[in-house]
Amino acid sequence: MYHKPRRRLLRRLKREIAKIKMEFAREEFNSQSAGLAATLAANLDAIRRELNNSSDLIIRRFNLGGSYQDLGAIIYIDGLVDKNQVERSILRPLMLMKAPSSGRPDGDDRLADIELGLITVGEIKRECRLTQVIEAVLSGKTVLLIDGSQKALVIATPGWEKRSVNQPDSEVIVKGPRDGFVETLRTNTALLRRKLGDPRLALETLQVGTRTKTEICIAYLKDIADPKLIKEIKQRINRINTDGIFSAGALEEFLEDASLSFFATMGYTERPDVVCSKLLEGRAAVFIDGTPVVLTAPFLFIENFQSPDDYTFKLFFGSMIRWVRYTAFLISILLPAVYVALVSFHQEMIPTQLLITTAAAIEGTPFPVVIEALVMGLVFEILREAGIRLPRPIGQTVSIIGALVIGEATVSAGLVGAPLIIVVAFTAITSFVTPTLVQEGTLIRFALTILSGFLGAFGITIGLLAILIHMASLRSFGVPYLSPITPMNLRDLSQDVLIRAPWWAMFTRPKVIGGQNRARQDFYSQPGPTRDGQGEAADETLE
Amino acid sequence: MKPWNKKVLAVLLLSFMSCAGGCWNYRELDQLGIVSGVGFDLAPETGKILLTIQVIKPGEAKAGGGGGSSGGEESGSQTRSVVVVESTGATVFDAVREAVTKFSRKLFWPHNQVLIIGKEAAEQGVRRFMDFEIRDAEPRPTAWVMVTPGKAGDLLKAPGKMEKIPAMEIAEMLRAQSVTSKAGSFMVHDFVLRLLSKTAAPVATQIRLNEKNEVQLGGTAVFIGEKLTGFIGKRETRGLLWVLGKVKSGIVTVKDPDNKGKVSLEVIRSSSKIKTEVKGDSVRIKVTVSVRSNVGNQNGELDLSKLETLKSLARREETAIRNEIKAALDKARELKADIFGFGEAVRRDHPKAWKRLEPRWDEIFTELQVDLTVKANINQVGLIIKPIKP
Repeated sequence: MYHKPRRRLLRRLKREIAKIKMEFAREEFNSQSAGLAATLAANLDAIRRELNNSSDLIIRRFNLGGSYQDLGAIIYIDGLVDKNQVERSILRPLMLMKAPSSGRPDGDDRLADIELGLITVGEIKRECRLTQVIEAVLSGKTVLLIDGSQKALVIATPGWEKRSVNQPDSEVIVKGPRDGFVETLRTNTALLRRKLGDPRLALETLQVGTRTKTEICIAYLKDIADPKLIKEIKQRINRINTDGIFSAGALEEFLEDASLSFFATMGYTERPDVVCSKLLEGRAAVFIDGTPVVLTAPFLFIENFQSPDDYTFKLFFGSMIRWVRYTAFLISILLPAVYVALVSFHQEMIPTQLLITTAAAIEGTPFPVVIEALVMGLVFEILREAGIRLPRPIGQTVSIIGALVIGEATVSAGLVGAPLIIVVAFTAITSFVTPTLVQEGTLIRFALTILSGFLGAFGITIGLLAILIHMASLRSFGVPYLSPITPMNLRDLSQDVLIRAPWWAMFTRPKVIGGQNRARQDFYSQPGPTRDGQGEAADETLE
Repeated sequence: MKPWNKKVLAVLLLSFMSCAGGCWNYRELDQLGIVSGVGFDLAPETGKILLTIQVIKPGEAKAGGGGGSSGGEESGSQTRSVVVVESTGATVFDAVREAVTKFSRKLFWPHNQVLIIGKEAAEQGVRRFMDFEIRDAEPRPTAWVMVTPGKAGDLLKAPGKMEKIPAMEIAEMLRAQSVTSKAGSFMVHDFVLRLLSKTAAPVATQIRLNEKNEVQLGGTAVFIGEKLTGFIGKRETRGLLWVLGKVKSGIVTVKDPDNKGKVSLEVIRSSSKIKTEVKGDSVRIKVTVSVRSNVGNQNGELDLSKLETLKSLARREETAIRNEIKAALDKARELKADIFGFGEAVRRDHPKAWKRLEPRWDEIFTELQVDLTVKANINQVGLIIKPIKP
């Protein structure tokens, strides 16, 4: 009785979906099968119709060099092509010169003659289907059609507006390269190629989004990256059937193992050097056209604590800074919860003098400490959110009002204890030490604060254990999220987790990621006095 | 039921559980009366305990300076940073709960620093006070135990000089005593351990109000069983501390070898060893005290560059220390109280013989042969070696 209507509904839904799929398939079949017509006028009409006669569609008809009968036309979208190049390399030779003829009067051969003899553009392709021609026009290429030919020349003349290569705002570092990815896929892959001259660097391009037709490029080093990983990524990308993807975040959710977890299991960066080092460790990178953010996989929890600066600073400072980050993260998730637990459950654990000071500060405040902590935490999140989206001058006003009015006034009005303001402010600062963990940290912080308000230190323990169990169960493309901490790998731990080992001592790639080609460098890279046979060649050349 | 539903149900039930289990121990900091010191006396009505509790007023006692809304009057500020509550009851706990009738907050014991017992109450027995200190979860066994010849309540009502909280000042004074070692510091924990022993006499720091109504430390209160029998002076106290190995620092002043003045030696480190020997019914105790000290100050014209001088100074120091220990020993024999814990030492070393000796330990202790060995060593003579003399 109870199940019946629901089952019927499900059946209907399935039928509906099947129908839609059929329609899709038919449409696709129809459009793909349509070839180009033999006459120029018919082709131009078809293109105009397909593109709804858009105002940015430019169709330029002309006579081929010298003659008055041979008609040709170029088609492009205004704003996507470099007009100078179109004029110089396509229009001028075509209109002013005659192609060296191979003698055959056939239309297609004339196209081949033009391709070989007149057009001075590097990237060129021949197409014979209408859909492909339209796609090419829409992706910023110039299409050349001539009367009597059933083929079209697709000429790459990209010239859309793009940002120049700049230091990314989100990942500023002190001692390292200043270039960052931009919104153009090709520029980005070129930046990577500049860093990584290895012929084994593979760039595989896929397309996602039935309407956005976003180009996606998977980059990996063929002999280091796990083939299963690459296969898995490709499979997951091919499985996506949606109308549009234009941000790394969206693609990330389609690709992630556990997209319902609040931990990110794919990394992201805007820096070519970071992508390069991740590839060298055996990871894969996913470039998405139209966004400067590049996804990397597999992504481990400890990567949140690594910064490119660690590897350029001296190793002692680099190692120390690592520990500063670990501590800061722990503080940022634990401090408010611990404060609440101490003040409302375990007062005996506070040193006497501190207890007196704290008690004095919160005496007469009207609300329980948990409520204070939650409300002030919320106030901080509101301030942050307000500050991020506003134009800079207004943002400053917001922060001043936030800091002065809410921080100072609430304390002097006796609404909130001063120690809590210190706790919230300090927590806020520490949470920004690990920028990629801000989202996770905020959620954990609130959850732990609520738990500790109910159960004190027990609540914190329960919460931390739950989070730990969850993290231990996470996988990023088959790799345990917490490795190399658990499952433990001492070599990886000592190379890049507990300390940042000197460069010449990073002998291996992480086992769980680059396990199939683990050796990274020679054992004798440490600088020092010349050993047997080593360095002698250099001496000789000097003499 | 579908597995999905089960999961949701489990999460819901768990979250309800966390609410239901909550708050059992929840107490806001501003609902607590933080106890800083407690005094035990006998109430005028017989058999009742008079409890004097010193409770911190956080607003006034804040470390960061008087300030605040009610700043101003300086003279009264010290006494106003605490509240002293008195209450009576048949047991300590009874009196503690009774205190709430005169006081708005729940008393909070973990930060209690000192525990002062009045002479009369101590003579009647202290087991009932210590029971609360050990049995209840809140008070800490690290509080200092003290006995006063007068009323404990008067000491807790006396204003402090340096600190805002008088009980904290007493605790700080006790900690500072280690520079002279003329008053021992004994925690509830140590005291109770001795109460549990059949032979060792519990000891506690002596504290009193002097003529100027100031709190003064010095000397030791000696118990037999749970009852106070008497006090020993500062000199004997240090004698006791030498044997217990609890002298951390202190000044030993000796006459200099030329008889021209006196030299004060500063003790840097000391340790003691107690060895026992049982032959039939006779017990021998060997006490070895080793002391390292520096020359702190001299009145005379001693040239300290000579090794012999230092050695003779060390011999004199040894004699001085030996005399202190002897004084303590005499006093202990007089009180018939084994304050050194020699009995416990015999029990550890000769458990079989101890069964025989234990019932007669009081007699044995008074006739005990104690061999004292003191080894003194002088390490440094300070920044100058020779006296200030042309």
